[in-house]
Amino acid sequence: MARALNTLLGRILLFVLVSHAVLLPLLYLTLSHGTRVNAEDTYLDYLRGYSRFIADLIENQPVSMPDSDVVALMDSVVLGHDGVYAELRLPDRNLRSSIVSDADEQRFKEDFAFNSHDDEVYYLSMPVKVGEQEGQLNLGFSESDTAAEIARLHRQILISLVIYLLLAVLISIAMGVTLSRPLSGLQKVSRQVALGDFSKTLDAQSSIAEVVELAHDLEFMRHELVQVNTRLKTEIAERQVLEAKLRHSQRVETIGTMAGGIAHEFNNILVPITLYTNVVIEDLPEGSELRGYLLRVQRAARRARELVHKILAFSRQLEVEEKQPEDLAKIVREATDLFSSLSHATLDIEVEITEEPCFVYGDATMLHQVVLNLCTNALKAIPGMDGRIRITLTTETRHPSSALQDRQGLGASYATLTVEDNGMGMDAATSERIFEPFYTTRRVGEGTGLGLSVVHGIVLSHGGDIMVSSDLGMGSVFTIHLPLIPEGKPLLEQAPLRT
Amino acid sequence: MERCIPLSTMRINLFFILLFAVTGVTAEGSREVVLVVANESPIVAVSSLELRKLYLGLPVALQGNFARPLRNHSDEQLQEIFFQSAMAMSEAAYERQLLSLTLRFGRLQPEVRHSVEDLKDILREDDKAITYMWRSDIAEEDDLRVVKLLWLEH
Repeated sequence: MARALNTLLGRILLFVLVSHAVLLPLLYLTLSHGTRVNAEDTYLDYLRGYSRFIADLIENQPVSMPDSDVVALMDSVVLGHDGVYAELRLPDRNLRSSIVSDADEQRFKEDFAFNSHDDEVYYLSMPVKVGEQEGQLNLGFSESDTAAEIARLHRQILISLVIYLLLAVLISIAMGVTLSRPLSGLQKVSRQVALGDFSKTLDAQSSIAEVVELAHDLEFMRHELVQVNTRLKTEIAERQVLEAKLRHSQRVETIGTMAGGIAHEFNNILVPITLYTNVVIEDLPEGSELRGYLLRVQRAARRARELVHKILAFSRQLEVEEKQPEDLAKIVREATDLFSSLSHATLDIEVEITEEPCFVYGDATMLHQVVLNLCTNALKAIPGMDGRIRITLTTETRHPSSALQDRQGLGASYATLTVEDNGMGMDAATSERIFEPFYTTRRVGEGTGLGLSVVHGIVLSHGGDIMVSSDLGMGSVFTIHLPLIPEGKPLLEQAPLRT
Repeated sequence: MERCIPLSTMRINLFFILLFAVTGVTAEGSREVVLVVANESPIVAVSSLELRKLYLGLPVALQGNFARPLRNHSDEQLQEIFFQSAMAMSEAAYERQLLSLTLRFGRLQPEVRHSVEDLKDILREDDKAITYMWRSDIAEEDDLRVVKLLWLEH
């Protein structure tokens, strides 16, 4: 019961019933009083006017009416509508209707208000002057018909009010249903939205402005919720990617630090070996067997030194002393020309370099090596003689990687170098480890696994970043971003960042 | 059919009882309501029709003099008798007609006085003034006279 009263329909019904319980009795009393007073006044006006008319009729005769005519007039009054009693009382005689009796005369009690003597007859007297005599015209009229009419009007008012109450209840039910139906619909969909089902729209099938506005606001909230949810999912996904990249970078960094340390120590060991081997070789005669052995040692030491050099380049511990504003377009063009001349003729090499100024702050030799290493790596990924390598260099004002944006600040301009091949591609696990030193998918002896590690180290030492996108059997795309500087001017504030 | 006595009826009956106690009845045992003027008033007779016209604010010349009607509101029963026997209409109808005549023709409404003594003073001061009151109210007034009997208690 309490729950039913707490619904919208219940509240409307309760309100209607309570308000009508207070108002209808008042309305009934007011209406019944009004109709009663009106009916009584009409009755009194009629009686008094009619009585005065009879009195004037007697009074205004040029010659006094004979008594028989007066009695006949009194009879006519009694026989007329509502007539009960009629007499003309003069000082010397009493002319009463022949239809009434002495008993009726005894009942005569003058009234001044309707139903005042509870005898259902309204008695009144009028002053009459007959000749020189002053008399009284006493008349009586039945109140029954008027009382019945008043009672009938009261019943009609009561019935009308009961019908009105029923209609009010029916209308309030209809109103409650009309109001609550769209709200129930909104409630149902809201619950589904709360449970994570955003597929349904919050639309109220109603013409009530407040309900429509509520539905519109709720739909706006749902829409915002969907957008926030989508944005949150995207951000979580981006965060997961960034975290993976961070983990990968940290791992590469750790490996690089360790490898760099080893390489540095190894280089220190190689210095005396190389130095003393050179001294001994210079002291030995040409053609001696020992000199031949030492020359082998010297070559091995040189290879070891190159290896150390590469490891230091990967770990970015190689000191870059020749950084200056360099035209990256020129470097890429020279490197691709060199690579084209060295590769076989059936390889399709596409080079697309922007016409825009493309200056970076860096080491030309190292950047040259980056392009060559990427091209060589692409060539090795192509299994047959036919293949395609596409090298592009463009400039951008925004970087798609939010991490890099955060590092360099919004609005920075970047050069984007991509090297794309249609080779065998890589799976996700390989892509994950491709920049690690000594990691290779090739057979033993076909590569050191340092080429891409060196590229990674050089790019990072130039304040850029490198990304790889690859699908097995679909080829790979290496993308490098390097910060641009105004033409020919080194930017001190844009000193290369070490990550 | 058994009927309960309305509150208004009870109130009127109670009023009559109190009135009888205060005013008493005439020597003959019945009360009268009469139309009164000053002794020196030129008004000697008023017909029923003239009386009604007079109290509806219409100009009425009585014996060549325009009378000044005064309404006596000193007691409730007197008014009821006035409306029933003199004006032959209900109070509501009388007020309606009076207002209607005032609005339509600009007639002056009869003056209303709530005190019998006031009315007597006016009658003495203005010989055109005319009003109604209980006969007992003028029983000892030598300077006032009755021009018409309006109502005699049955």
